[in-house]
Amino acid sequence: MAGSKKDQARMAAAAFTADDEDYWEESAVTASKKNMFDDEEEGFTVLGVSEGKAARLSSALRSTVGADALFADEDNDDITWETSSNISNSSSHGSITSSEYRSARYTPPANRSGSLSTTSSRSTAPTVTLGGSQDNSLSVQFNKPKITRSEPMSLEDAIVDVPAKQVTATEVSKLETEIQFLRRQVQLGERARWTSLPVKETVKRIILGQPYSLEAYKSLQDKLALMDAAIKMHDGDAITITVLFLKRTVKKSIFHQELIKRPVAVNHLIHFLWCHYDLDELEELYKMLRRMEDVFVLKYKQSLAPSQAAGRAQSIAAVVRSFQHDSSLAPDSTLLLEQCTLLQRQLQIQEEDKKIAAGGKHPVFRDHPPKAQLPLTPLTTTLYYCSFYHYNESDSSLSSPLSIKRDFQVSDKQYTWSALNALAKLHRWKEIEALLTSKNWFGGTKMKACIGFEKVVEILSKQKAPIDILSKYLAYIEDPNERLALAAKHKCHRIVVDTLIQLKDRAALEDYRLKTPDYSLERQYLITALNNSQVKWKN
Amino acid sequence: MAVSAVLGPKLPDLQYLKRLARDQLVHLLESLPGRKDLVIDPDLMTPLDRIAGASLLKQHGVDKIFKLERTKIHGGCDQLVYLVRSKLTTTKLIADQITADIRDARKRKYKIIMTPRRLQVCDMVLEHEGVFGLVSIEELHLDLIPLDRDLLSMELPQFFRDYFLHGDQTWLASIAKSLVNIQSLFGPIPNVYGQGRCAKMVADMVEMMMSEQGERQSSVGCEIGHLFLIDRDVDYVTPLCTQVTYEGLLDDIFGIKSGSVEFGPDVTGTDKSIKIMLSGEDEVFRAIRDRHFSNVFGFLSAKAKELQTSYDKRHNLKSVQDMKQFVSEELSNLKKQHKALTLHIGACETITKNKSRGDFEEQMRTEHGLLEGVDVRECINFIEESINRQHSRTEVLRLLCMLSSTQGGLPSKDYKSLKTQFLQSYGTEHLLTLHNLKKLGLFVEQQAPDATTNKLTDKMAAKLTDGMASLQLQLQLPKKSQFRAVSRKLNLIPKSAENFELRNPNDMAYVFSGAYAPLSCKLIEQVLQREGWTGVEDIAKLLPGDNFVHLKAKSARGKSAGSNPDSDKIVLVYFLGGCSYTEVSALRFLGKQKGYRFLVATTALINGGKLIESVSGWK
Repeated sequence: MAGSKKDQARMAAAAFTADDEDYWEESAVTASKKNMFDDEEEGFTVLGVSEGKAARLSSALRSTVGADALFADEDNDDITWETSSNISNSSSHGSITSSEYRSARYTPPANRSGSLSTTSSRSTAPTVTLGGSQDNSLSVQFNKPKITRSEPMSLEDAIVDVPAKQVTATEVSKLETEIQFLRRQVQLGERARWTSLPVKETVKRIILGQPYSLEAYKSLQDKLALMDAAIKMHDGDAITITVLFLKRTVKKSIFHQELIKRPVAVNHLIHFLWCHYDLDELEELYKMLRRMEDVFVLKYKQSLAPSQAAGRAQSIAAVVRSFQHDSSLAPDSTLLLEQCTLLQRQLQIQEEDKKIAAGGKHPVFRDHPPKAQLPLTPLTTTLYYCSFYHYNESDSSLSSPLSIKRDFQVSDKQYTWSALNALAKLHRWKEIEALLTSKNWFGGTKMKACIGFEKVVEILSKQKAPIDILSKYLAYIEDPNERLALAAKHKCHRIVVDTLIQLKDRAALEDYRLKTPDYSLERQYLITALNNSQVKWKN
Repeated sequence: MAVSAVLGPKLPDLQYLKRLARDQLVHLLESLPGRKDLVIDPDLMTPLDRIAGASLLKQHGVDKIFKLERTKIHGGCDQLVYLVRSKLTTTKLIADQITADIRDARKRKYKIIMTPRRLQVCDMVLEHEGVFGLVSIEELHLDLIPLDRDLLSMELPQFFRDYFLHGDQTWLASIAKSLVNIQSLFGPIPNVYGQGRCAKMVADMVEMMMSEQGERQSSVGCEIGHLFLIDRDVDYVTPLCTQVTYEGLLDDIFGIKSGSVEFGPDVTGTDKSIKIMLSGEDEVFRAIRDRHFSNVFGFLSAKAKELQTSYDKRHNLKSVQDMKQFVSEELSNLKKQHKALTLHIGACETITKNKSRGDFEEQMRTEHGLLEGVDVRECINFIEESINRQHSRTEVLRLLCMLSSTQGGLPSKDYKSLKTQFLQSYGTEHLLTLHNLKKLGLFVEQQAPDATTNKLTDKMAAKLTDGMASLQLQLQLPKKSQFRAVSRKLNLIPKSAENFELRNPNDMAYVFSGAYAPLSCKLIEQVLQREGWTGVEDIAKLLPGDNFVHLKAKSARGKSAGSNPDSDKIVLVYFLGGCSYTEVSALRFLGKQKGYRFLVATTALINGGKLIESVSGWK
């Protein structure tokens, strides 16, 4: 991990000088190897900005002029397409009337300067605007791009709009292009429609959006040459058109035989079939190409269509059955099978739970009625649900979290996270202790958390566990610096004192005295420790 | 303008593109005389906002505006204009609506405006559905939309999925067309560099289209000196990283849409949301957009003090004349700045809150570990823990892809374990998403236990170049970016990570807190410096796709009349498949460092979340 021991000790010591909030932010940064977001002025703080500071400054700014007044002029010009209220829903009959339109007028921010400045600048420099338009006159004849504006033009805009010399030149060349294009058009029109153009010409016409015809390409060679020309010229539209043309005009076996040699053509046909919802044909194509994984994915996607859990379980089971002999897909098939099993199990659990909840005797169901449906949730969510409502059931029960862990091969870590979260939410501290206790060979017990005790403390503190519970698990954090930091954060004073004794840091302990409440047992404990002559203090 | 003078070579004015598109739209609307209703593709709503407001449409005969949906359109007048992206599914939807009208014996005139281009397959669908004769079809060449003075976007996020996932090349012609347009406005671009399969195809198509237009008199001076085309799969790692520049954070946290962002009540400090355009025209924003976040707040707070002083001037106004001047000139400017400042400080506040929650530090440490290739086991543990705790799915997938991309795939055991746990926590349905990520080479299993087989498979691929075998291989083999080797050769990881200067950065890596410099931008730097690939062949060899370069002879360059003498310093970088705001910032930095001005064009602006979401197989 980043941050050496020394660093950590330093930051731990610093903990007692700053208040808690600042301390956290600082330690986080110091520990970060890349001097993440340090702010040299203010030091520390996440992302270089302390929340408090930002908040103070922004509220100060807002109060200078009332925030509402500051943004008041926004009313007229901020409505855009995205505002759904302005775009009538076709189903709702509503539509925008002309008066609404006016208020929906959109003004680019550049024009937002007050009307006062606009008029004054106009009156001071009228010649600029005039001169501009005179310069324009020549290019206007050349079909200069019209600038349609609904907003009053400000001076700045007027200047920007004066075309530079290059633009006039652009227009000239544009016209030249147009003449050439028209000439070409005439030439093309002169050619007889029924003689087949060279394939390259036809593909070009497709790409450039000119009229074309494929019917003259009768021989297989021509059809293939056409398709190959399209592939060579890279245009997807032309490729799809020529592939579909081939498909329509030759028999299937020839089509497949030629298609298979051209991967780019295959891609385009597949994408076309997807977009056109020709899924049966797509399946056939995949099979012909022996792309079984794609068939599998396609069938699986289709099997997810039913929105009800029972129906979906059935359709997924059908997919699993049809691929059971394909060993290359075995791992994914297994995943699908598990999904089926889970869906069925969720339905059974829900059925039972409805009865329990209706009975009104179960304390957890009574106090925390389930908010959402269990079926169709992921396994992890199901595990949490069962830990929440069915924690102590024997592992022969379908809804017991342990039986779920066993049947779905859930990892120890995952199980601990889910169970711990559920139990902490219910404030079942004793069961948490049992969860984290493991028996050793000789019948003794030992506390063990595969997710790390610092994470246990994090979860418990979020659920507002009492100090003595937190202290219990804090004590198991091995790294004294980490333990010290967390204990200080959660104000577990005894742990802080014990850890400082362990670190033999008398100075820090001295500093910490003021953090403990006056006349408290913790203060007493600290003073006793300071007076302990057996500790060999390092300072 | 004063600003561009300070910044060095002057950029071509991109607003022409906007005007051309707007004029064309107006022309198309006017070509159907009388009142008409407009049905807009939801995908086009925000991008269109940059081109034409509702009032403009209103001026040209549009009566009501509908969103294209799967429902019938009631009421309205007897002329209907559809303005849509040219897609098969959309076309089918329109055909269904027309068929429904016929069934109801409703008579209407229909016009379909397809953008960026009319597709023959769409014509075919209309023909197939039996409505072809009832509609007139037009095209609107809305390709690159200027989002800022140096930023252009096609606003076509589906291009990534269509091309990189499905291998569909339909949009390529539109990308090529956008480059043809740029060159007809700003002159031919003499030097073209490219990396990637798509880049090569686009360059070919541009050449074809230009020659189709015919050789032109060089009446238009050349304003852009260099074009760099780069495929997104050359560098997946950069957009996957968490962004820490100000504009990048705005995109990650609030979501920037077509250059504008909506701030909620937590930012505005009122009960309203405010939508603002983010652009270099805003002085405050221009100063902070590219900065590392740690370097933003200090600036804003100094600016706030400065503003206060300026406001205070009003107490010292001596004469009516002074007063008049203050009110007419300074006050509105002050108010504008005040507003911008308030919003940006509010945004900083929200960002800080957002990032101080949870395990942000640990997440950054994980990302840096992955980039550097140290403590990978701990990184995997962190990802596993995130999965166990059911943290945001997109975030987890982003980290998984980052892990796989930086390590060149995962060892079988890790891959299987992470996959199983992921599906357990987020639902087996996401097998579909993982399947897509595998196809893209973003989350893959290492093919063999040791690294030497990489070379072997390369040889195999080379042998089986055509036919079905290559197709199969193409799908199964991850596109190896060989990230670690490239990273070493391009010096992407700064050596002195400890005391990295974030305030006055002298290294591009500042955009990622000094942990990593974007691969894409470093590659561009190297190639521009060498005016080609000579000297970087060993790096290019490790990247997917081929590279190419077309240089116009030096003597011929600059000869054409009216050429902008600065043009050699103007570089257009076109990202095929999207680019992130961090990459834009990195290029701006590179420009300042080496005296270039970069214009960035892209098919869409993306970040890690958007990238992952766009290829999700199950919503």
